[in-house]
Amino acid sequence: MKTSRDYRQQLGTLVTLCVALTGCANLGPVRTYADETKKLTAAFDPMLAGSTAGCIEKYKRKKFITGSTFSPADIETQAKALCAPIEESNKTIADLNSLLEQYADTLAALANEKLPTYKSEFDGLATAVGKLKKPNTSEALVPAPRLTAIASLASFLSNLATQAVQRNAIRDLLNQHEAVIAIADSLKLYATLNYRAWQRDQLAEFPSIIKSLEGAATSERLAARYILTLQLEEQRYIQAREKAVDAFVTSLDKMVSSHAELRAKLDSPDDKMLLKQLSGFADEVAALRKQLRDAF
Amino acid sequence: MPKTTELGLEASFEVADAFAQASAAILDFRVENNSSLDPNERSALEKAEDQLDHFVVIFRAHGIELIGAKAAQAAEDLKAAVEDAKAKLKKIAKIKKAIAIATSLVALAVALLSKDVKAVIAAVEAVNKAKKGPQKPAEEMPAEAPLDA
Repeated sequence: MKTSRDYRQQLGTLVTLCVALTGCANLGPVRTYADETKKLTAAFDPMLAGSTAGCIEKYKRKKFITGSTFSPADIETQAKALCAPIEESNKTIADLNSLLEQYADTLAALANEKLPTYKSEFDGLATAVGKLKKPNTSEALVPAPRLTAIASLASFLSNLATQAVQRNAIRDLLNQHEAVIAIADSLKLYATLNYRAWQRDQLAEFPSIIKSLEGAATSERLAARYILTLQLEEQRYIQAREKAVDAFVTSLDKMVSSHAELRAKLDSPDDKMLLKQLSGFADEVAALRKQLRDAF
Repeated sequence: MPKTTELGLEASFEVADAFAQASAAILDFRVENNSSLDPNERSALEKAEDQLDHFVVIFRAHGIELIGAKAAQAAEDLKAAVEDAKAKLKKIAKIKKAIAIATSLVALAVALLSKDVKAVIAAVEAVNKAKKGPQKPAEEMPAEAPLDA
């Protein structure tokens, strides 16, 4: 039969092991990476909507201002019909973006420090044990300091049980580096070849739109001037949207290089280069978000 | 009209850009010469713009589909990895049962340190009760002492 000394020794070993394990359980960099990637995927959404809107607005603007007939309802319907193929093919890219978002969500869930503690369970355990009285007395069965010991050991144990699974799952996800590169490339292609093209097309037509409004100013001066003001404002927004493409591409590049760095240094969460890389990534995403706020 | 399926990704967008530029040039011509064009001429130019705009959409939509197709394999790989990770998250949730057993054993160990045999037995029973006893944490311990919870 085991003596109380044996149990003490076992507990000591357990505590040492647990402390050692929790010491290397810093998943902060994974959380930072996942959070910034999630923000980046959110910043991509306006590009999907912005491509279809670019197509529709361009058509409507041209027809309303320069068209030979004026039928707002028809123009609206025609614009939607014209741009429907863009809306339709956008779904593929939206799926890719949402996959990247799910990837970031899953990484975040795996790196969530609350995940392994099951705090409520342990609170319940400590409460239950705390209520115990020595038989036929009102004296607590387990003295308060030991009750605390139970709770903290239980937390350590939960970490012990979950960390291995957690870290392996995170590593498996980070090993999908090639897929992350491919998805980032697709989003870049979409932003530079499609989204930017719709903004550029609209900007290319503005001189004609303005010329047409100026021509109308001789007969409808006030209305033409009013619409001109609105169009110039719209032009500035579109310029800002086009500019955001560069920030978006830079952010995606940082997302990929941070992914590589994180994958290489998952076990060195305090590595200076890793932290610098992640902070650079966060800066780029913040700059992109600021640009998008100015563009819509 | 060229077969869109034979066009590569970047070529598809280049063709679309060329049509867009042509449409913009016609628009500029139409606006610039508005006063000297008769209604039929204006309408013919506008129709040409409409057709070109339509081609812009067709070729860009095709380009977008090619972007998607290019990433299809990567998307599949990533999707599988995410599903796998989600399954592991569920597995972590299942570890709860194991933790329940482990924690009750810890409680037992602490009680043992108190050198009070009855207290130990009571602790075992109490922990079992508190956890609704998914599994027996210490089968060798007879659970006999009723508790004053």
